[in-house]
Amino acid sequence: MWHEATKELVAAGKLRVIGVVQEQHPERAALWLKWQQIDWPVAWDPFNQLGVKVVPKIVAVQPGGLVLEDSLHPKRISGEGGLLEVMGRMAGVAEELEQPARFGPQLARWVGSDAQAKAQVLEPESAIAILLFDPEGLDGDALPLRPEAMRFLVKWAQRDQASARDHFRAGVAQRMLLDEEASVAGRFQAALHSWSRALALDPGQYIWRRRIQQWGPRLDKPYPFYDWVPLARKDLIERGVIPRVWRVALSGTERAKGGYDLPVPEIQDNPDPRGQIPSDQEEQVSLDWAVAPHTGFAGPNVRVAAGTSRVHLTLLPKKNVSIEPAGGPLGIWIDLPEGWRARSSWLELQVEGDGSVQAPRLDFELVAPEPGPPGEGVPSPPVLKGFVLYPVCIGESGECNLLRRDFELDLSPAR
Amino acid sequence: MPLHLLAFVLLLSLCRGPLHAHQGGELGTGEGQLLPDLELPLVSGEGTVRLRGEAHDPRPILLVNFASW
Repeated sequence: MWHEATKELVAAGKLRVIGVVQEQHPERAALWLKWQQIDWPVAWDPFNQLGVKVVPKIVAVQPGGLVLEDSLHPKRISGEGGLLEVMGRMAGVAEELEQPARFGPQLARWVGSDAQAKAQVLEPESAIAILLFDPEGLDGDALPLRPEAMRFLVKWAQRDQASARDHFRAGVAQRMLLDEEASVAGRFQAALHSWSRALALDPGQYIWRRRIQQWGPRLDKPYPFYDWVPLARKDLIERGVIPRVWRVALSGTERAKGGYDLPVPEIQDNPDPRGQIPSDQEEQVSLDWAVAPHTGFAGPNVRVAAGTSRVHLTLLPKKNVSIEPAGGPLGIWIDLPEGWRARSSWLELQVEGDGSVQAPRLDFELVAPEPGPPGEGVPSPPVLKGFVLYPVCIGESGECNLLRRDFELDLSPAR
Repeated sequence: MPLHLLAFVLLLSLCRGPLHAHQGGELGTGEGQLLPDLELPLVSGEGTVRLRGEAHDPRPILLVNFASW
């Protein structure tokens, strides 16, 4: 809407429009902009350094940074409080703009070039600068600065006096590095725990709440997040534009519609009721679990049964091990606790989108029984038990087996 | 309104207005605050943008915070 409303002013050189998105993955917003044919410069602020609590938020800014209006309405262009009237109040360029921005790529360059800073990332801002502006992850001496920057932010959030914002930033950094390395078991869960701690401390921060809901249960989605992506890709291809392949494919829950309904559970037989399939005692495959909780745990207004969540699982085989889907069932059996619901007790792992067959994954919804009346304590979520089956071959001409791994999964959100 | 009262009201409105915040330098996205001085990458991965504007560019800025969902 703002795009249309401001087109003429921008074309006449009277106004600059700058977009800002706080999303974790910039390529998603880039695709949306291309699809919507919006040509503003749009900044990526995944750590939410701007400190926005909710979007959309339209702010009129005088060059130099003074905020003249912080709640402009997209339909109000003329009249008092409208965009034109606010623009008329704006003064000229501030002298400070002659200097580089306090936070920007020069900070990452300084850390990369300064001997003392190189040895150790010194403060959160420089760690964030490295993560935003040093995509190669290496400085001149081939030191891996990006993992170091992530570790710093995680450690910073472990201090006794750590703030909610510190926890959020630690989560963003961990998820960022996971997407780059794609083979670190436990890191996604660590990111979700960091975001959960942040939200528990500040339940009114809706940028943080949405970060969990993005991967959380459908029951907790205020709207679908990325269900528009297939249509955008199709439209762009019809226009002759080939969208870039994403490194991070959408999970099932990111594509899902919101809603309170659950499909009727499919009745399936336990594929190994007597535990006869050999156990993967040598851990040829790592199980990367992450539980994204319903965000009702944070804040006093929503009563939701503890444990309602979206469970994410990715299989990570060892280097000389390959998953062979033709060699037997590839999936997970869950022993649903009394009164709990899921799509099925047997869930097959999928190779979706641009994912690799060697990292099959799955995410599924778990719904706890309705909570009791107000005043009654919310029961603790149980531990989810079950097993995973996967057919693997070891070495190039090695033996192939169907293996089983039992699991116990804690569904409690971190506080 | 007596002159001294009018002056007092004017002073109050100035203290609560943008000028005071500008001088005080309180950072934020609220009315009268100073936007944090951030130069951020573009979502396209090509280049950066400074949210407070650029030197020698007098155009006012409309900062649209949004999400693609």
